[in-house]
This record gives sequence, C-alpha cells and structure tokens, in this order.
Amino acid sequence: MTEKHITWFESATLGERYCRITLPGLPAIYVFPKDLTNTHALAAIKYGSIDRRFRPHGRKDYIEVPDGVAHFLEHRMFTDKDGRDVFERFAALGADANAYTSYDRTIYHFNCTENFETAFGLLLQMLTHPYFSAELVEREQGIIAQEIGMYEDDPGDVCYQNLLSAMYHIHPVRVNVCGTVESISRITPELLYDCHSTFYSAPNMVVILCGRVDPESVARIVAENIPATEAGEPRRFWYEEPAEVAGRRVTARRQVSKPVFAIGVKNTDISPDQTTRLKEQLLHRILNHMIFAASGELYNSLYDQGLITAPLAYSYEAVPSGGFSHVVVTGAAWLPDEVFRRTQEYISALRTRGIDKADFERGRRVLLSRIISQYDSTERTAHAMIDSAFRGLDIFDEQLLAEELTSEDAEVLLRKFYKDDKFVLSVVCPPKHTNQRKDN
Amino acid sequence: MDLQEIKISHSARLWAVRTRKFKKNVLSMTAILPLGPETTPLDLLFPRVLMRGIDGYPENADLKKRLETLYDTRIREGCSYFGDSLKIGFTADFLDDRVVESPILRGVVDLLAGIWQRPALDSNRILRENEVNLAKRALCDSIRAEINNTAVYAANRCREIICAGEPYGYSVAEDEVEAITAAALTERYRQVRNSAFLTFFYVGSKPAGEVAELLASAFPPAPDCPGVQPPVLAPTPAAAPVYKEVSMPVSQAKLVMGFTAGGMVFSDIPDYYAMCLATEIFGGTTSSKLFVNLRERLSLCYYCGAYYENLKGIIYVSSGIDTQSKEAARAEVLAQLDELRAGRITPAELDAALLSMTNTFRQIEDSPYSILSFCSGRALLGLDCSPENFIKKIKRVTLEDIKKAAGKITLKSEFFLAAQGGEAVRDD
Repeated sequence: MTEKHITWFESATLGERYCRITLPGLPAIYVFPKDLTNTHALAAIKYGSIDRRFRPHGRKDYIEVPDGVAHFLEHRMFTDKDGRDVFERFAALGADANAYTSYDRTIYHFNCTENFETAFGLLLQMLTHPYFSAELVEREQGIIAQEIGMYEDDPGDVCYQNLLSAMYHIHPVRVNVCGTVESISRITPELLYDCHSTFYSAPNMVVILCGRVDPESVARIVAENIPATEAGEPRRFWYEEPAEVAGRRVTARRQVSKPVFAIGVKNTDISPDQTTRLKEQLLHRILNHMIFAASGELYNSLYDQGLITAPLAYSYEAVPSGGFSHVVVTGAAWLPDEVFRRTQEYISALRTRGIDKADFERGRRVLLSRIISQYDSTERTAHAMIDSAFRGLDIFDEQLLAEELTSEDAEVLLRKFYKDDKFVLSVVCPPKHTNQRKDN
Repeated sequence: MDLQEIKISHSARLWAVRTRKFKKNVLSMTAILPLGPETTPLDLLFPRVLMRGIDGYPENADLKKRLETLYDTRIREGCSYFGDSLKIGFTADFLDDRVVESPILRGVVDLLAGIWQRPALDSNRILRENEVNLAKRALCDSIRAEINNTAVYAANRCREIICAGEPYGYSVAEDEVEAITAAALTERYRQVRNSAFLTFFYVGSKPAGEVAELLASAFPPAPDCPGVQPPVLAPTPAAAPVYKEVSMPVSQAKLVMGFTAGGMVFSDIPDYYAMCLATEIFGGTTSSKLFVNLRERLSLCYYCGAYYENLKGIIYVSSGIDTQSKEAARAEVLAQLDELRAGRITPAELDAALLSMTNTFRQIEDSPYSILSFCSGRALLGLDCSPENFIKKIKRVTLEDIKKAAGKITLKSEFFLAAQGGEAVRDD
C-alpha cells in the first residue's frame, strides 16, 4: 500500500481518540479504538431514499427511479451470486449483521466478539459483489410489501409520513423510504445494478470501526476488498424546494386508541457551511429540549390541563448534504388542534420575551451529557461518527461547539426558524373520531 | 465481573458491579409484589404519582429541572411482570461523578429517597387528587394504546390465553384503574413503602461499600418488612391447545403461538440451557429455522421469531403475515418444530445459534444497562450472574440435549389477528 495517511484526533475532555485513514481512491476509514468486548463495524453509503434522480455511472443523462429503490437494494445485498444468504455467513462467524436505509444513507453494520477481520472482509466483499436476479427481485417484492403493510398499520408512522408529504412540495423526503407496493413492483435487476454501480463506489462511502481494532489491519482489508477508483462522487439532482409548506393540515384514519399528532416546522434556509450547520443542529437540540421537554412550561401546562398524558417526542432532522431540515414533535391527544394552537402560541410568546439563561444552561447540560455518554458504546460511537464523516468534520467538535453556544444564539435561531407560516399539523384519528374531547 | 452483595438493613440490600469503563452509571431500586387484581392496578399507578413531585421539588417541572441540573440524570418508574409476581421500582442513569467532577450519585440517591419516601402530598397528607386523576388518565390511555401496536396486542392476548387463571395471565383493565381513589392509592403506597423489601442494583465506578453507605443513610429500614420477598416462579402447565381469532381493519395480520416448555423455567440446570439453545435454533436468529423457512424460503412473513419467556416456561412464536397465509404459516411453524424434535439440526444451524448466544453474552459487560438487565433478574433468583459461566454451560449442550428439550415443547395457545384491510382515508 502506498500513500496511506493516518491522522489522529484526540479529546482530553472526553477521554477519547480516533484516527482517520486515507488511501488514494479508497473510502475514508475511521477507527475508534475502545477496550470493550465487542467490535462494531459499519460501511455508510451516501445513498438513500431522496436520491431518486441522478446520473448513472458512465452515462450522460439523468434518470429517475421508482421510490424505494435504495431500501430495496439494501435488502437484496444480503444474497450472494451463489444464492446464499449472507446473513448466514455472518452468523457462522458469530457476527450479528444488519442494515438500514434512511433519507440520505444506507448503512451496513455488524458487531462481533471474535473473527472480526474475516467478518469485516465479508462485509466489504458483499458490498462490492452484488447479485440481482429476476427471481430474487420478485421474492423481495413480497417481503417488502409485508414491511410496507406493517408500517401502514402503525399510526405513528402514518402520521409522520403524512406530515412530511404536507411539509414538502417536491423534495423526495416527502416519500416513504420503503416506497409503495406499486413503486417497488417496477424495480428490475437492471435498475438495481445501475444504482449499485453509481452509488456503491469508494468515493461515496465511509467505513467506521469501533472496538479492539488495529488501524493498519483495517486499512489492509479495505485495500484488498474495495476497488480503488479515481471517479468522483455521483451526480445527484438538486431539488429546489419552495420555502412555503405544501399544506397546513393533513388527517388520516386508522385503528388507533386516541388521535396521534405530529407537528412539523419547516426550514429551507440552510447554510452552505458545514460547521454552521452543525452549530445549528446543536442549538436545535438545546432549544427543542427547552421548549418541549417534561421540565418545560408548555409540556406541564398541556399535561396539567389534561390535553396530553405522556411526554412529547421531538427531534431536529437534517442531512449533511443540506437538502432539507425540519423539527418534528409528536404525541397523542383528543384535541390535537388545541395542542397545535397552544404550541404555536407558546413559541410565539417565547420569541417575544426571550430565552431564560438558566433554562438554556440546563439544556446545555442535557446536550453535553448526551454527547459524553454516546462514547460508552461501540455501536453508538460508530453511528454517531457517520454525520461527522459525511460532513468532513471532527466529531469532537460537537462537544467544543456545545460549550461555546449562548442563549443569544438560541434566540437568533428561534426567531429565524420558528415562523408561524412554517408550522404543519398531521393527525391520525380513530375511524369515527369527531375532534371532541373524551374524558376518561 | 465483580458482583458484590451488601446488606443495607433487614429491608434492603445492594448488588453492585464496580467498573470504571463507562461514563454513565445506573442505579435501580426494585420491590417484588403480588400480581393480581386486588393490588396490581394500585401498584401500577402509585409509582407514576410519586414521580410527579417530592418534598423540596413539589411540582413536576421543579423535579425535572433538578434532574437536568444533575447533567440529564434520568429516573424512570418501571413495572413489569416477573413470573407470577409484579416487579416495581425506579431506574436512574446518570453521569459518573468523575466525568463532570460533581457529586451526581449523592444527588441521585437523595432524589430516589425523596420519590420513595417523601412524595408531595396535599394538606390532608394524601397523594394529590389532581395528580392521581391525571396519572389514572395516563395509565388508561396506555392500556387503550395497546391497540396501536398490533404485535404487542396479539402477544398479550396470547399470554392471557396460555396462562388463563394464573397471575401471569392477568391484565389490568381500565375500569379497575378508574375506580381508584386518592385515599386508597395513598394507603396502598404506604403499605408497600413500609413493608416491601428493596433491592438496589448499581453499576459504576464507586466502591460498593460507599454506595451502600449512601443508601443506608437515605433509606431507613421499612418497619413492617418481613425480610426478602422472593418472586413466585411457577411454570405454566401444558393443556389442550386453545385458538382465538379477532379481526381488525389493519393491513398486516399477526399470528402468535404459545408453547409450554415442559415446565422448564429459569434455573442453572443443564436442561435449562438446552431449552435456551433449542429456542435459539428454532427462531432466535436470522439463521434460525423459522426465519430461513418462513421468511427467506417461503416469503410468508416480514418477521418470524421465537422468544423464551423463561420465568413462566413459555416459548412464543410471533409473525407478521398476510391473512390468507395463516394456515401455511402455522403449518410451517409446526413443521419446523417437528424438525427440531427429530434432531434434524444442521451443523450450520447449531453453530449459528451457539455463536449468536456467545456473542450476545460476551457483550453483556460492554454496557451498564445490559449488566443491570442480565444480573438483576438472576440475583433476585439466587442464580449465577456470570456471563462467562453461561457461555460455558451453553457450549456443553449436545444435540441429544436439544432434541430432548424440543420434545417437551407443546402447543397450548394461538392468537390470530386477522387483517380486514387498513382504512386509507385521508382528508386534507
């Protein structure tokens, strides 16, 4: 191997260190040594459900593929050219393998307590030796149709998916990662090969390992199993999503005991700078906690008046590529419109009166605790590393930036982000619900 | 793993694992209570009310802010069935003192003691009626919300059938919760506080003796406690199979089959380890007989697996299928069980199951939560708490042992949730 560069990053505050290995034409490799029994390894492909329009490898024109291809491809990668189930091969090594697809990524991962190098080699071979046949594609359509059915029965999933379709006009984040039964019926082996050759290439992936791992061995295994290439990253279509929301309210009916709701706040004003985006992400985590957590005024007034009976779930969602960002808050309530109105009212009042410094400092402590404790687990460490790797940033920047944030920063973000016309409400009701309060 | 037991008083003990590996530590506090309609509705409810405020932090917001000040310390109340007993308590996770150079553990112990012994009361020294009513509403909501997760709904219905007439087969009903008054709840809470034996479990960097001292000064002995109250473990007996079916307007049907495991419950004898391994081969991994055949070969389901409820000697097989595939799925589950009983187990199936279990149990010491989860149940039953010993015993199991264990697995109940088709109505 020539021209291998190993750069070490260290955080005395966190008591952690990791290295990045770069080899010409090969994926960036991140190794986090940790003295735990299990080792976690993952390959992160920068390819997800939102990549439905792109220029295939070796071609000049853009194509558009049916929804759900990235997820379908992930499922199919676990059968080799001899028709064998690769899960069984991992299992034979004592490795527990799995994968998942999200908006902008497909992640293949395993953990093991022995046979690490062999399992790691198997993972990389699996990713670089795809096999798709008409028979296997047809069988997978049946399995994924079952998976889609399972999500269709989950009122929370339906509520969330409807929210996205109401927030976004054209951006593919509005579509279910799995696609639909109809869209996956149009998937062919040829299409899967096109997507694989375009996205499953060295410049478009990163490899991350955490545990009792030797960086030199890892670099050798990557070089042995992944073909080096001088090709750049794939060409993806950039969707010009309008700033305004597509719809303010959407409802559906399902077998559910009580209406579930999701409130979304959309944002298209996304900075081109990765460090700024990271700062905003951290600020959102503090701000969301201050607004929606069980310690806050909003939650306690909703609970005390019987409008909700359980904590709200909340998150800030964005992708390193900058395609979209939004906040989602979910819960259950007999009067979801009232909860929505009270939420908007509370945030509007907060924008006017400003952020309490003591509240902000407690929110910062919560954030720091969560950053610190993620390093307790090889799996959490490796998966937390993905965003930083995609962004080209040092993961330890999270803790440093979190320490520097101020309540004034939070106020600026509050005013910029939480605008009234960017709020959307999605509700899933029981079949005969008429939006009236039911007293228990 | 260095597990120490220390007696705190005649009504409390501590199990502690000292380790400096983690930045997060855990401390749990549990009590074992009877399971049944006389007390369980009350016992599910009062911990929720206790979490709403204590002396010094009487409002929920105050208590939650105090937890945030302790660097996002989380204290959760929990109730679960433990064989034919109910296990209630609280689990705290918090940053190790040395990570933030602050006495977090002392703060956590103080809060746990406040929650258990000094909840916020009204002027009549009763749990606040408004908080009780809100907690009742929340508990009723969660009972009703079972329907939102059809896999859980189907599993609970199967449990009720397979253990009909046993405490474990009991499920709290909404009307039982609605009938509770603040006075009755306060009386039950005081009865439990004054008589329950508390087991604490700690995983963190402090020496066990230091933790025990903190707990001893924060938790005075319970005056009416008779001593250790062991859980009731009674395997569910075999009986003629019972089948039940309901239908709902959902897209995916659920099939849950309940098998008795020949009376084999949680223990340290070789037959127990044989049953664990048999279940793993049957449906515990993606290389198991159920997964490979029902999903990969026959495309009958998205998921299909087996789970050994070792406190009752039950093996559940759960799957999500199309309604019209029910008979094919049932037949295949039983066919694969026959394969297991006949000892038709390939070396690959056996190796995959052994490796999977070895991998899982070796990793137990990689997380304070998995240490807590693995050891606390075993410690309550007086069983060996060493993951390494578990692995050694599993590796001694032979094909003959597995065949013998599988021969005891007998179908007792089936619950089928038929899918009528989801209502895809959407109005904007």
